[in-house]
Formats: sequence, structure tokens, C-alpha cells
Amino acid sequence: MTRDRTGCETNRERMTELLYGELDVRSLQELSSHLETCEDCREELESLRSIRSLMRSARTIDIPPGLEARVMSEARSALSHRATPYVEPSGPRATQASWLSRLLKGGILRPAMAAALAVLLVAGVAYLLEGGKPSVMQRYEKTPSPAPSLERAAPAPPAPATEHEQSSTHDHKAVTPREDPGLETTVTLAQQADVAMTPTGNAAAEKVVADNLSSSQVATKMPAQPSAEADDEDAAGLVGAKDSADTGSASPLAGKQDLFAAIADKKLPVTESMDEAAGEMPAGGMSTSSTPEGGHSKSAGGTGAKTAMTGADVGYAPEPVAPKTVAAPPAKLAPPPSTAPAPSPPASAGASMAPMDGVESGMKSGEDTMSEPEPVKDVEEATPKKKPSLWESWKKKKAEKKEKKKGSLGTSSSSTGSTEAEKPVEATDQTVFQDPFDQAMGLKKDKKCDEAIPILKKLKDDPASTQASQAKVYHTLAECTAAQGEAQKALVYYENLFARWPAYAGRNQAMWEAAQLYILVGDKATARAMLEKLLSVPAFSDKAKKKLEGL
Amino acid sequence: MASSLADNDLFASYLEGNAESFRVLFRRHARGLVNFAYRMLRDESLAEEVAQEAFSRVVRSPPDLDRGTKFSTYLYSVARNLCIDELRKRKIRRHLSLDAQGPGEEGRTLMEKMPGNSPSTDAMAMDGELRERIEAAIAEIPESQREVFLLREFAELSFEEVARSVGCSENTAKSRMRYALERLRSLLGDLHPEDA
Repeated sequence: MTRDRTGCETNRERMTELLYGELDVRSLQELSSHLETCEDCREELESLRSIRSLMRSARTIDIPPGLEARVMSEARSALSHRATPYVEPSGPRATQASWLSRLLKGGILRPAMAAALAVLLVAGVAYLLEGGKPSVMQRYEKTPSPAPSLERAAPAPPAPATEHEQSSTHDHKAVTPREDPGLETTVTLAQQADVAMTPTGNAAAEKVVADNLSSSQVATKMPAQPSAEADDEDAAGLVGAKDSADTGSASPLAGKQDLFAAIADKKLPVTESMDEAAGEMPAGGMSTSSTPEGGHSKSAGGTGAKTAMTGADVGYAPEPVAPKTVAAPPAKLAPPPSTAPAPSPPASAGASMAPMDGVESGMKSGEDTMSEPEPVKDVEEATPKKKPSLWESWKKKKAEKKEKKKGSLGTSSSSTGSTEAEKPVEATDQTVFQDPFDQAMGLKKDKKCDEAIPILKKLKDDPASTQASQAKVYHTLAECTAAQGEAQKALVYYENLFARWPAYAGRNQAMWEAAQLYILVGDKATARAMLEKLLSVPAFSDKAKKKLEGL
Repeated sequence: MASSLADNDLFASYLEGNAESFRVLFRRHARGLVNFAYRMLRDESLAEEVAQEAFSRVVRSPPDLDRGTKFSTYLYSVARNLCIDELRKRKIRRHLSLDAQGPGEEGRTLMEKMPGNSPSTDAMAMDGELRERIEAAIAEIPESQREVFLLREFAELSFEEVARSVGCSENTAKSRMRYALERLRSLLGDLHPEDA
């Protein structure tokens, strides 16, 4: 009987998708076969279809006159502010590839080109300094501390400077790693480049690059080089440009994308955060343990301007840069496995961005990778292929505890062999193991909902870790979230609970709680609907009636 | 030619400098957007403002559609947020009666303003009555369910797009839709499609 009702519930959920043509074939077959035997569901479907048909007679408003003109005028003015030349697309392909041409036309890549220019200059100067060109060395000999490295190139030598030298010094300052070449330099140089750049794009931009290059060559009073050396210079320049594409130039792009993501997040309602709470991974929340390499940070897709800057820092500075953000909080439920390698304490900025990735994956991306950039595959290797489930972690943790206890009591049975260590665990599992859900319930009882919530969230994402039903987990999570004063978030959990487990035993209690929350957030209609349903439940009828009167 | 292009391609073309591409986008989405805003706010002039502002925001701060976002999803997200802001600001919520006068409408109620397609007065009256009931029923749906319903039913976004626009999971969007339909059925159950 109950199974039938559940079958009906499941199929009624499918009906919505069927009505709007979004039901997959398998579900459609199941629904069809159910409809053949269930008259109630057939009627339900018919009634829903009727409602949809009725909606066709709902009034539609025409586009108000003048709206198009106003919008188009705004669109044109926004376009003129963008100041990018329009090239007639030659077909769909052209528009599909338009993002590239847009980049190349200078709209977005302008700062990137400036960054590339910066790197070119740095690379050129570094090459000159390290290559032991006599004229340059002679100049640096006059200064108290010659600066062959990029780091020391920052403070300009107090030698009398010609006009060209001054510009060279200025360029040096602009690309000093200490001054965050990833973004600030980009801005500075973009501003400089903007002066020279015309909206015609590439040719002018390239000219600026060439001009700057030649000015830096003049500034350093480089003697005429043989052609082979000139080729080397070009090669150095190319390397610099490539670096900038991987690092410096990534920052404005990644920054732009993330800026948009941030704006979009802001624009999205409270439910966006609710959604995260309800179990979806935040967009772009991928672990960016590869951020030290700018190129990787690009592929990570979710890195912000800050991360890209860090990447640029690492790209230019010879020493590792301290992580700018706080390390991810250690997962409370994950016990430190005794066999696992000791994690390095400071997690990278990327790791802190993805707390869901767990402790181990974040840790691997610490200082080592920052000081010695490794290809992506290393980072992937560093990430454990499969996290042990919470259940397994707990088992292990408890086993270790038990071992310790035994050891401290002087029991001789504690041994170093792993096989021997596992035996008593299995024997004592039944008595020692505490389900994380029970732990969360305990915390909730002690009014420590803030501590219970992370545990419950983990259980929500990893149902195998607990023996408790998912419905219970959601319900408790909703209660704890509500207790923390986050009514909207809690309501999302309640909604999930109602939608996914219609036959949940605690449904009435949950509905009662949700009704209170709906009143709290001002959605009296939904609250009323819920309370009306509860009127027929003896345990809640009086309360519901009272509440309804109050509404 | 341009009208056969996908929204995202048209928007990319617009960003390249082809303003006419945006006109195509406008014509594709303006009606849906205005109607969506109207049903959220129950005010025609506000709906128009919201639609205009939504388009303006899209051109002022163009979204990065290379990241998998659909133009329509983004546009409706903007419009939806504007509507919610407006609802919050005016504390309208959902109990606005059909008899309420919108700003600057000088005594005309929404009921009176409803145009009828049928030529006869009786038919007009019947149409008006039916529409009144439908509009009132839609207005009765709780806000979170109503926006999902409007985006799916009238703006014709997929559930996935609705979920993105509203900021919830796809399953939540579907269950909200179901609640909305159930609500409508309870309010309009005595009507039949033939009445329409």
C-alpha cells in the first residue's frame, strides 16, 4: 500500500516534466506503465493538462511602444563606449569565433598586452643584466649594490639618467614583483599603453610593444648586437610573452570572469546561497591547487584576479609567495589517518577556495608546488582518487583511539602491524563506533548547531557515512539551520525534504516547523497552506488551528 | 539571417559592434520579459521599466556567456532580481487585488484595462472574467513558486535554466512548479479548457 503511494508520488513528480516535455525516455516508460494501472494518476495528469491549457488564455501584454527604441538607443550607446570596431561577421561560424576576435581587437586583451609588454621588458632587462653586457655592468658598478636580479632591479640606480633611462627606470618599477605585476602592473601599463594605442587594435598595439622594446634597448644603451644575439633577444621576448600569456595576462581575463561571477552571485537572490547549502557545489568551486602556475589557474576556471596575481607573483619572483588567504579549516570528521603522509600546514589560496575538496587535496598544493611549479598532472596525482567515506574514517579513528587507550593501559596487544591493529577494531566496532549523525544530534541537543551543521552537510553529500536516513539528515539540517537564524536556507532544506521524501515519517513535524519559518519570512500564503494540511493531523490540529487564527 | 542565430551568437555579434543583433534579441525576449515582470509585479508600467532596465544592464555590463550561461537565463535572472527588489521595496507581495490601480492609471482598474479579442461584448465580458480568474489565481501562488511557474510556463525556459535564474537546484525548481500547478488547480479546478 505504502509502496503504491510512493510510486504515485514519484510518478506525479514526473508528470511536471512530462507536461513541459522534459521527461527522459526511461522515466516516460515508467510513467506510462504506471498510468496504465493507476486511475488516480491518470486523472491527476489530465487535470494538470487542463490547467496548462487554461494558461493559454491568460492575458499577454504587448511590447510597449517606444521600449524598443529606448533599449536600442541604450544598446548603441553602450556599444560606442566600448569603442571596438565592428567587422561584419561572415556567418554563424564568424560569430561563434567572435570572442577570439573580440579579444584580439584590443577590448579585453589590451591590459593583457600591457602585461605581456611588462614581461617582455623584465625579460629583456634580466637578460641584459645576467648576460654580462659590458655597458650595462659598467653602469651598475657605480651603484653601491649592483642588482643583477629582478628583485634588486626595483630600486632604480641613482645614476644620472637620460630621458630614455628615466623611461627605462619607470618601466622597471612598474613590473617589480613586489608591486603585484599580475594586476597593478597591468593597470599601470595598460594606462600607459592606452595613451599610445589607437582603437584600431593590433597593429597599433604591436607598434607600442615594439616601441617600448626598442626604447628599453636604447635605455640600456645596448650596443648593436649581432644578428644571432638579436634572435636570442627575440626568443627571450617570446618567452616573456608566453609567460605573460600564462600568468600575467591571465589575470585580467580571469579577473574579469570572476568579477562577473561575483556580480552574478550578488545579483542572484538569497536562494543562490541557499542552493549551495542545499548541496550543489558552488560554480567554479574547483580546487585550484594548481594556482601557482598561472596557466593552471586559467584552466581551473574558478580562479579570481587575486589568484591570478598570486600566479604572476610566483611566475616572476624567485621565492615562494606566502598564501594570501587563510587555509581551509580542517574537516572535523576526517580523522588523520596514521598511514597518510603528514600534511603541510599552509594550504594555497586555491585550496582555501574549495573547502569541500577535503583536507588532503588542499594540502598538497602548499608551498612545494608554489616554489617549484609542476605540471597539472602532478597536482592531479596529489589529489587522492577517492576519499574514504566518513563511515570508514570514523572506523579508523575509533580504532586508533582504542589502540591508544589500550597502549596507555599497558595492554600488550597493541602492536605496530596494521593487520593486527585492524582485528580489534572489527571486534569493537559495534560498541565504540558513533554514527556521525548521532554526534550531530548530540551537538544539536547541546545547542551547538553551528558545529552540527558541517557534519550534517557532509552526511548530506555522503549518505554512505551514516545509517540515518537522508530525510532525517535533511530534517535535522533544516532544524539546525533554522536555529542559527537562517530561515531562508532552512526553508530550502525543508522544501527538499518535502519534495524528495513525501513519505517521511517526520513530515508533519517538519511541515509544522516550515510553516513557522514561512510566517517568519513573510510568506503567509505558504504557511497557511501547510497549516491547513496539518489541520487533519490529530497531533497538530489544535496548534495549526491556533496558528491559522493568528494569521 | 541574423534571426536564425542562437541568442549567445547574437549577443557576441552585438559585442563585436553589430547593434542590430541586439534588436533581434530584444524582439525575441521583450514580450516574454514584459509579461514575466507584469505577472510578478501586477503593474504594466513597472513591468515595462523592469524590462528596459534588464536589457540596459545586459548591455552595460555584458555577461560572459562563454562560461555556459545562456543569454535568456541571464536576462531573466536580471529581470527576476529587479522584480524582487521592486516587490521588497513596495511590499506588494502577492495580495494585490485586481481592482488595485496602478500608478498613473487614473481610475482604470486592471480589469477595465484588459483587452478582449472577441468582438462581441458578451464574449469580451466572458474573456475578461476568465482572464481575471486566471490572473488572480497566478497572483495567489506563493512568490517562490510563482517565479518558477512564470519562467517555465510563459518565458519558456527549461527547468535547468529556471533553476539557474532563480538560484535553486533543478529538483527544487521542479517541485516548486508542481506546487504551483497544484495551487492553480485548486483555484481553477472548476474551469475547463473549453471555457478558454
